[in-house]
Amino acid sequence: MGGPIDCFRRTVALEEVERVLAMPTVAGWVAKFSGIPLKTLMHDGEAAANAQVEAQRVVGHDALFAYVDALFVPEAFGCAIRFTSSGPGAEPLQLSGEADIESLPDPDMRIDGRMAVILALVEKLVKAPGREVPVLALAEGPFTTAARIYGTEKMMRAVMKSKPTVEKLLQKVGSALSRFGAAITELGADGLIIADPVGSSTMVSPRIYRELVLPHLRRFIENLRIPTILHVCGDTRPVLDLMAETGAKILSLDQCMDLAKAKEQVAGRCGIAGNVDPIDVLLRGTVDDVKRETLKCLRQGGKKGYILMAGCGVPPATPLENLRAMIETARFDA
Amino acid sequence: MASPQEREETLKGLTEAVTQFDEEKVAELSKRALELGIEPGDAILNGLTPGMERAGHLYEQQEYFVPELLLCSDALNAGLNILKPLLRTEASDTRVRVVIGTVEGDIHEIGKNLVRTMYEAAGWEVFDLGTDVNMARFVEEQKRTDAHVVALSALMTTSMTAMPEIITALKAASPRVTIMAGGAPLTEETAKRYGADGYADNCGAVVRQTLKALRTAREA
Repeated sequence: MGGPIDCFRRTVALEEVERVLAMPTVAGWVAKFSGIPLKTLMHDGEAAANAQVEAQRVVGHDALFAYVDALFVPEAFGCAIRFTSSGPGAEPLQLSGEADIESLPDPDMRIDGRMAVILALVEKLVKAPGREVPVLALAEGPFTTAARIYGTEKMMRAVMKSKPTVEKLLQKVGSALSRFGAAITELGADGLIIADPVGSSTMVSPRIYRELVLPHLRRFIENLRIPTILHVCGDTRPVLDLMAETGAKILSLDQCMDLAKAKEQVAGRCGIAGNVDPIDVLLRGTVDDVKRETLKCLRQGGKKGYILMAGCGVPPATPLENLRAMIETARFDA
Repeated sequence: MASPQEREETLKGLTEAVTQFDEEKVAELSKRALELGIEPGDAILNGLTPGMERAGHLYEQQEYFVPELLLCSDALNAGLNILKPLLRTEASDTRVRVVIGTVEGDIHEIGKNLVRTMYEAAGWEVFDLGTDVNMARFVEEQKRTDAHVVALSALMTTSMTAMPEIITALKAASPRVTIMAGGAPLTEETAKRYGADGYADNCGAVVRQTLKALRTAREA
């Protein structure tokens, strides 16, 4: 009976475990908890690592998250970062046709933009003294990353009207992501979370998912030596089978999804994670609400190929006691 | 002068061409409508706009997705570009004026842009504040333009919580303004609870719902 690192290995291998891992994605929450401005953490790998370690000590969840935001890949391609009251956003590059894509320089995924900071964060967490939990990095999938670089609205038109241009961009982005994947694997990261919201069925059809999202995602995941957790927001019922073909070990689902049904649908191909409601339960609920909803998820997920997570990122203003209630409910449900 | 049958066929053709996002066909039929003597306003309201409403329904049924909706709105615009310049221009102070924006903290704009297209298709005057718009800017722009309607968009559950405060401030500054609220995380019930006067769950229904809210306000 190993600790959380061994448990993670067995969970992604779809083996039965005694205690389900609790890995709510708390990067944004940790930033607030640390009291250090987000902008500072985004540029300081050591400060970000210390914040993660301290938060993990206090909350007790089963992971250290080696990211502060998801925009370091668009930034490596040259996108400027703009801040609003709810956090950072990436300014798209001015790109038109295939020629523009071809002449876009391939970023050095070790040093361009903030890559050095991100890799330093991964390394510091992996080497954290006495570490017992897995280190998970995060990147957005090729499709979502391409949308950030190209502009989402432009991309939504382009998938219908300029497919060759989109294909070229996806290839370039996919290659950059694979280089990132190799770098974090080398540093000893235990897993990678891939967030791909633009691939959600709220945005694109299953046909576009199959033609443009799946191939590049699959290739990215195939080139990775560490397990991936694929998170797509919203109602993903129309594309759940396709997500199960990506090679991701675990599919992390939104709170609107039925965990039990999803688990059954992908059984044998991959596991699932989720899906406590981050807003209505974690942020606004009482401790009892959190316990009740967490137990419901644990019952639906079972002890094989399931990780307890929230339906999406944990809001920064979530009360500490709510987060602890979620973790403790999982811990004592053995 | 077009016969009733010619008019109906042409308008139906326009509707279908918009729903099928066939820009060329929309342009061709818009020109034909003019040649037949169909009023540009008639062609827009009863030809183009229903096509976008149908696209909105298809989105709800998960047959159309965001790319399809955008292409439909491009087809709509292809028709508007031909028909709008020939509209009998109303004096600008009789046109409905709308201020639209995505609320503070939110940089999503596709839905807002689709709604703006619908308001423009109706011949209304739209003042688009863009994204990440705070309370002060909404209030200032509504007063500057003396807008009849302010349309608020939010795409995240965390940013829609900015709406109640914005709505309160807008109504305090201009008690007779009509507020529309929309966006993926909203429901009719939530919009009402926030104090909005109207709500539409897809861009195809937006003009109809706004007219309803304006009528209700007038009758109140």
